[in-house]
Amino acid sequence: MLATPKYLIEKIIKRLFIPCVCLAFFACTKDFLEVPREAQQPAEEFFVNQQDAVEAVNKMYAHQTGFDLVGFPHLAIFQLTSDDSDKGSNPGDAAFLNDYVNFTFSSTAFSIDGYWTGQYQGINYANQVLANIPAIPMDDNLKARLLAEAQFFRAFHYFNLVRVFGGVPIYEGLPEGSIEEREYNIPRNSVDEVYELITTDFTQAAENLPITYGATEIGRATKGAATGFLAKVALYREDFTQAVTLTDEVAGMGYDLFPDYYQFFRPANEYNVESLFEIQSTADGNCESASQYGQVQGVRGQFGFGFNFPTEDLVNAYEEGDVRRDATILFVGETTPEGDLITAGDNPDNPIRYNQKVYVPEASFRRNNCVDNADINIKVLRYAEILLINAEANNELGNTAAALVSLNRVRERAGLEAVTVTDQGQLRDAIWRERRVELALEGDRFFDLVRQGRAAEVLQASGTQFTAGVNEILPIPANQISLSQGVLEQNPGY
Amino acid sequence: MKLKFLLLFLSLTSMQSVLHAQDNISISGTISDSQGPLPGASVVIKGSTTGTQTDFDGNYVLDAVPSDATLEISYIGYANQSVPVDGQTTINITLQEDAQALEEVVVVGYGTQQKEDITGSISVVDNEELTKQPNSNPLSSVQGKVSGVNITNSGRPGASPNVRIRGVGSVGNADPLYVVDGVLTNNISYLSSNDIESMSILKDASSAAIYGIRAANGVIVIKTKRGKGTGDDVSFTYEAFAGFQRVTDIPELANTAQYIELFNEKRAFEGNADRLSPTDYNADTDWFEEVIKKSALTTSHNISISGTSKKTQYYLGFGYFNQEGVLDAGRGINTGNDFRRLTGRAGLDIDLNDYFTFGGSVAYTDTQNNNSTEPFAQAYIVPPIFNPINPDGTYGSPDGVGNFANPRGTLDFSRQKAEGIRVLANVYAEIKPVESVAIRTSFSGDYSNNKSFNYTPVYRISQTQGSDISNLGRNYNENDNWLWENTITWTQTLGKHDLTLLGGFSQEERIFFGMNGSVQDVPFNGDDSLLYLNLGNTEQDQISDEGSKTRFQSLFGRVQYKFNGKYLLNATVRRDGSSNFSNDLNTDIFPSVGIGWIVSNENFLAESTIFNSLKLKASWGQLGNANVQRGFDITATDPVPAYFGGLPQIARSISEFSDPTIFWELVEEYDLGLEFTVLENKLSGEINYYNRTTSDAVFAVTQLASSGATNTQLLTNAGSFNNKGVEASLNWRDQVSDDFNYSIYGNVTTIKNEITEIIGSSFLNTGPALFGNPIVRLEEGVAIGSYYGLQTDGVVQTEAEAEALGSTVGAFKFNDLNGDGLIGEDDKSFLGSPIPDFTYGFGFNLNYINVDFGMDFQGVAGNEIYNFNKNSRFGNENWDLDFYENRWTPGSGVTDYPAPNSDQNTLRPSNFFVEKGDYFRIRNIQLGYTIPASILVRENPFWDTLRVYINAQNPFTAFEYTGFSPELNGGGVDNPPGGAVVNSGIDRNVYPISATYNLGVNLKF
Repeated sequence: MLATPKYLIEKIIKRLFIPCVCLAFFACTKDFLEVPREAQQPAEEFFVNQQDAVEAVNKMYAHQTGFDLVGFPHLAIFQLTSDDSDKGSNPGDAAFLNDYVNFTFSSTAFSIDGYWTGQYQGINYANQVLANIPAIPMDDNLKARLLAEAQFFRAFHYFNLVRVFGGVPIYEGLPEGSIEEREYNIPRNSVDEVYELITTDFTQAAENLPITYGATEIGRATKGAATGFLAKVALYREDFTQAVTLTDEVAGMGYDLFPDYYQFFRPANEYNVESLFEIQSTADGNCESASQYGQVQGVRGQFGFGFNFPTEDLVNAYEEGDVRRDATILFVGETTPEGDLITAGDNPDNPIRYNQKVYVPEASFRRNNCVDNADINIKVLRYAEILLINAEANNELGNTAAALVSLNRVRERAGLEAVTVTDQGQLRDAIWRERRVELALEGDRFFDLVRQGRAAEVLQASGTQFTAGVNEILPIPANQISLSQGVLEQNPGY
Repeated sequence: MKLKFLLLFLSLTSMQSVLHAQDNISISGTISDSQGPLPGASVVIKGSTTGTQTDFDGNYVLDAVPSDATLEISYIGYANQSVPVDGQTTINITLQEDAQALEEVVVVGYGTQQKEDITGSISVVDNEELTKQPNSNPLSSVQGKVSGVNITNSGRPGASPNVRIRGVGSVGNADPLYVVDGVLTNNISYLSSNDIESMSILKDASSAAIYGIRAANGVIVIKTKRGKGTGDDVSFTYEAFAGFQRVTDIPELANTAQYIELFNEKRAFEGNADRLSPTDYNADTDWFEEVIKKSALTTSHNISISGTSKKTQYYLGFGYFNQEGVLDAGRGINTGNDFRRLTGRAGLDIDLNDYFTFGGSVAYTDTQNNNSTEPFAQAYIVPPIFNPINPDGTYGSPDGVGNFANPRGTLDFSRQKAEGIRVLANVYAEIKPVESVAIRTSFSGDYSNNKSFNYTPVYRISQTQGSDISNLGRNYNENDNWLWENTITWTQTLGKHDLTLLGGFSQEERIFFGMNGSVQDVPFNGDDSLLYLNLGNTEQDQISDEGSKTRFQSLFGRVQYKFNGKYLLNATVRRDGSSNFSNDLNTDIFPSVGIGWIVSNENFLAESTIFNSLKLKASWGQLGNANVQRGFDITATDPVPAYFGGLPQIARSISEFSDPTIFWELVEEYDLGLEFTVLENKLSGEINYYNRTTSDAVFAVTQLASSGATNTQLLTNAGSFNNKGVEASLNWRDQVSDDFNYSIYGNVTTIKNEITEIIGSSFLNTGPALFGNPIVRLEEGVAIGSYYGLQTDGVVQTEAEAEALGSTVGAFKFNDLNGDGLIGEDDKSFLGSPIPDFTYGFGFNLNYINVDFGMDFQGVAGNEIYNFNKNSRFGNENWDLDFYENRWTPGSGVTDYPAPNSDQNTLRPSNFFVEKGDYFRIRNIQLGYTIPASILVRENPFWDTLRVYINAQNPFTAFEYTGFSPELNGGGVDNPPGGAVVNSGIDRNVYPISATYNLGVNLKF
């Protein structure tokens, strides 16, 4: 009804009035309203040259230190769900995290949405690279490597998603069109489809990534990292032949165990011979690359918030003489090799044990005034795990001798006697126990229990309300389901 | 002066039409008022078009007047007089001022209009009203005075009040547009009340629509003072006050003994043994007493000189305003907490000749703020068991009890200052080629800059409070705007038709630039001259800048038409283009129309002894709000680098997905009204019904996270709101005797705010969140800013009950709204809204001989406040006394307060934290005495007026809310744009309102 008079007025103004006024004031041109954007590079001007391509790939790495990836969501989902640790910190602080310890979380639980969001942001960065770099005129070798790095990260994020949620929506590229047209609201793919994408991406990444980098590029994804992840995926998929082949391939790339287990985790020894893939956290001058991974777990009252409280069960899981016990767990009252007395602020409310793998000495834990323990990298994949994957896969295939060789290399560094059992079942238990203590507080325990089919057994025994057939995977975040208007379906039992 | 020349010109032309008759006489005389001769008064022979006007000295000569004729003498602002000639040849007349008539001209957009002819809803506040209260911002004085306008003040020195006209029409920027002498701005904190002559608040769409795309939240047109008077006249005024502010209604918190009692009960709740013993703690600190001053000073001086000289009218004004904050700052390295403003203003108008007028003005404002980090929320939660500063000089550390900040340390170990200037300059020229046409061009510039720093030294009080490296942040920003406006006005009376046409064209450019830098390791020895970025560790400096440029181009027009003195039609149209939007969508038309019927001018009411005036009016209009963020897909500006081989490399990609087709918000409003004056003009009143709908409202909706967008919130034209209500005002004025007069006023406004549509998802969670629970939810059918949470259903009383519920004794039980046996997201409901059902104000003024006395009252009702301070418990925070006295203890049977705990299940956002926000306040009491010359030795003192007064502002407020103040101005919540609107009811570190007591003087000579 209004449109017609408005249209008429507009017509009169355009035909008659504007020309008159403009003549009178010599002033108005249509150009007056065409003002370029200030201080912002439009998206369409990015992805033009080689430098843009490199920066976009770098973004995938820079993204990894975000709170959604390595802060509370990591703590809740990767650590507290295990029988290795409880919430810790002050009893009242972030009490909702107890829902992860006790398996009482629902689809609205804090951190689940953040975790989901953080992974998909990483996937977007990878897809931006994969969709936009091919058309950039640039060095072909570099282009191939950059695309491989993007495939590595896309697979890495989907591996994180599939283990936590089961099947999730797959975006292999960027939806096109305007904001209304871009179709992001798609249903979940199956677990098999997600693993298929992960395998393809890691495989192609492994083909195109170098084994090593020059000094100024250390930290980028390598052929070893991609191959190592493929082996881990094969273990999850119980493709043991493939797992053995891939771990043997990694072994041929020059990796070895770092001689000192405790020293492996210290900031001075980043990217050593044992390391396949790390997330770099740095207390740089501006604290921009400082993750909170170390802060949330640091000794409360001294070096951080004090979450991730190692359980007594974990303490007791170490054999007598295992050097890894004291290297993994920081006890109140102990003095560290660097000379710090652990007091936890002398506050009896604070936990009495902490994750020592994130420990940074007093002298430098707040370097550059950044968040506590910001110099601690997240050790995502290391050669000891490759050896344990090799041992587990070989044992499943009946190659007991090969399994024992790999297993005992790990034990030897820990200062333990070699395992000699040859019974497949007993050896499997030995390997699983070894995985637990070797990789303790590194975030694999819950997924191992699920993969090994004994999550309900172990976690119910540890006193949680774990429900078999439900809690093996987490719920899809409730608000994402409601935003999708039901296109995303919830996991059973939630 | 201008008028004088104009009228002289008219008189010369009209002389030509004088008839030459035979038996007539020539009459001369002087027309004057009580002050002296009146130039330009009209003298007309009744029943004819023959007449003349008085000259500079008030003299007139009228030839050929029939000896039995009657002369009609009139002058704007004076009562008309009729005088029979009766053969006299000299007739001298003294006209009486018509006080009522003087007020009738109202400043509107691009002009003025007789009050009688207005069909919209416009409230006018004059200088006297604005200067009655000691406020830094003129709008603060309007609180409770005007219907339809809700003002929320802040206690922070120099802070602007929130101004909401007829509800909340946007969740983005809901502030009105200010038009100061033609300059369009969003902030008038640079203006002193003393420099303002009048303020017209254009409340309805038909009044505001002439400002089109900028007018959606209402428009406030401000006219500053200009030179007045005739001949060579100078007047000088000095107005000053000084006083002090005191925080009232400070919340009472638990003391050390009570805290320890609660602390140990909380341990029991958590299943732990007692830990603290009263004997362990000597300190018993009242933290509010520690951080709040007993009294803070305010001082204000204003001088103005105005006058005329020949063809020139001038005005000069100077002002000084200084307000201390109530924070007990200024120790350690802190510089204090205060606001200082210097204002200077000059205006010049020159009537060059009959055709040509020009002039200009310059306003300069210099402000300085010493800010402090405001530790009000910290003082609320920090336990009383340790000293601010120990006897040995060290700061008290809460280590061992929790990660609290020592509020004293927060004040003392920060140094913050901000300085700014603003310059507004305007030049104009007006040409009148013929009497009925005025062509005006006006060019204005508005420049401002602000620079500030924020310094933190090396210090350590506790594990979490301190800094191991010093840090300096500096900020500089400037705004550089210009506006060029051209209008043509044609005014004509043709028989029964009174017509005024306005056409205009304007262009405007607004440029913003800002720069931020920070650096660590800066030396400081008490001298701010060392606080430069390049004296720090420049290898690790961080510098960023930002900018924007926006242009507007507009065409506008207005018809003001009155038929037969009774029927009114006002219509406007504005075509606005803004560069802020994409090219296909950058222009729109905003029309409006208003009609009115002056019933009292009809014959059937002409004889009425009841109605002095009666008018019915209705209007409709469309307005825009261009103050929205344009969306673009952008390259990550996130500065996080990637590290390889220990060295940083630039990392960026496309990370934010935005809506590039965003356009302005559209407001459409209907207005119906009635105005009347009755009982010999003693009682006047106005009632209006308004109904305004904002459509295409811009706010952030949540994007699917799987898109990977880092802006999980996507700004888009996402919904619609409606505000409707009734506003009414009444005024009673009576002159009882020569010695005594009084007036009484009252007003009330109802507001019903409702979200009528949200696209896509049916709700939007926003605002601050606690433990993953957002507190504010926007959903269809509720008011903007409504709180969302669980409903408490008593407290778990027994172990058996606790076991059955999987809860703890002393914890809250919640209503299981969906009946699934679990308490979760689906059991949440709306718990209240920050928008009052109604606001009101009333008051009186009386004058008896030399004494004047007045009181103003004001209040709001029907709104709720979310007590975020009380809700945000993470560990061993202190409790308030209200909680101590009412809490659940074993066997107490208390059902409305839980046991002391920090359990985040029991502390999930719920109705327990939603409190009534109603308040009733004595806004102002003022007692003045005008010193008569008679009590002084000299009979003729050098001054015209000398008045002294005392006043008290906010001396008393009645409210139920348990926090500091029920008046929340943004609540101290630091949020993205829009936060201030959505979170307007959330109390979080609010700067409290003070009572102020002043002594003042007004002098004029």
